[in-house]
Amino acid sequence: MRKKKIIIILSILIVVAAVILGYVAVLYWKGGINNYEPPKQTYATSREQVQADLQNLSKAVEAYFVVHMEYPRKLEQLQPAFLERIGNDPASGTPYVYTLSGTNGAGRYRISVPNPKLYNAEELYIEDGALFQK
Amino acid sequence: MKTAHFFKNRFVNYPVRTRLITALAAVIVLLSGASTLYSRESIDNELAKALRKTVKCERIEIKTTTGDDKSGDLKSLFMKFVSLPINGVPVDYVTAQYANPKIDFKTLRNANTVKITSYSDFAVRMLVSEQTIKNEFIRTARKLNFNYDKFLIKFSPPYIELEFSVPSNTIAPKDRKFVEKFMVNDRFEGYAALRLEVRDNRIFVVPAKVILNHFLLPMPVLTELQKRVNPIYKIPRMLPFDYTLGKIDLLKQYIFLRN
Repeated sequence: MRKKKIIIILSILIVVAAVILGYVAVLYWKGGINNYEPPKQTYATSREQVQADLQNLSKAVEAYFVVHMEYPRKLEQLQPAFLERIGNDPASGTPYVYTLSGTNGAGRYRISVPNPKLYNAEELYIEDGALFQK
Repeated sequence: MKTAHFFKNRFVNYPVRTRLITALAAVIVLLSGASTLYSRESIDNELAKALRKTVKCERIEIKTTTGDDKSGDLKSLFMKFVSLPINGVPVDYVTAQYANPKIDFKTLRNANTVKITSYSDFAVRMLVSEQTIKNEFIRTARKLNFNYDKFLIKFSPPYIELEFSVPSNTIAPKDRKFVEKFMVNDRFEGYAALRLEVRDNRIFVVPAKVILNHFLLPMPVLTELQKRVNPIYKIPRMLPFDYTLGKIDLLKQYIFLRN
């Protein structure tokens, strides 16, 4: 009876030690120089991705305004200082539509998806930092 | 004859008068346009001059816009400060933007002081470049006598990436104790991907991934680390503006802060 108990305890200890060793091994394996990269951004849906894209573009446009005191005439002007790449609308594969109203580049800006129907929406755009979708 | 004279007068003298009136009207329109332009430029210059008195930076630019109506009221006022030192750090660009501002022109002209009596909206934005952060790190490390073999900073939105190799004795003993189980050969080498947050003018780092001496730090250790190092920086208010920064984003070459 006592011998059986010892065997059970030893088995548990071996399992716990194996789990700990496994965990440490995983942490060591994931700590190699090849893993010196930031966590990857993942989006569950293309709608989520488009919202993130529009917000990133909007932030870059506003940052451009801080430097130049006017909005960019086209999105390409945001590269390379504010964005690494502009990217396309994930559903249609075509570029986002950027419009600027008002004079001297100080009016309002709007960045919209080329075809909102692909997102089951009538409108999907970001204007002066606020996201609109309906 | 009289009729002919009348017609002559009508067709010869009248156009001259018309031309004269047109020319005068054009002059008046041009002068009024020029005066509006001049007065706006004059306001911009006076504001810049007054701000230079209190705000010390490399360059100040002012841009005002008026509405479409004839009142001449300002629709917006943008102030841009280039290389503005905040707490010793030269912030590359700072803008203060007022919507529908009412400026006390009497104070501006007599006391050379900017006083905005009312406005409908106010926004402060700051851009700090990657290069400024690198320069500031080197400057602070020298000041604190912080030795390092390698310390690379890279902006990869939305993360700031760090690669480092530092002797363990450069870490404060209380923090060293916390990570000493990962220490190898009295050194800390590794990598970190950090996100930034700002609350009430204080900047916080959120470690998303940290590798120390070939070990990926587990989440409970990161949470504890986060508690220990934060907040990493407090942004002082820059007079004469009152603001609370609540948004921070990482762009390709800049950190972008807003109220």
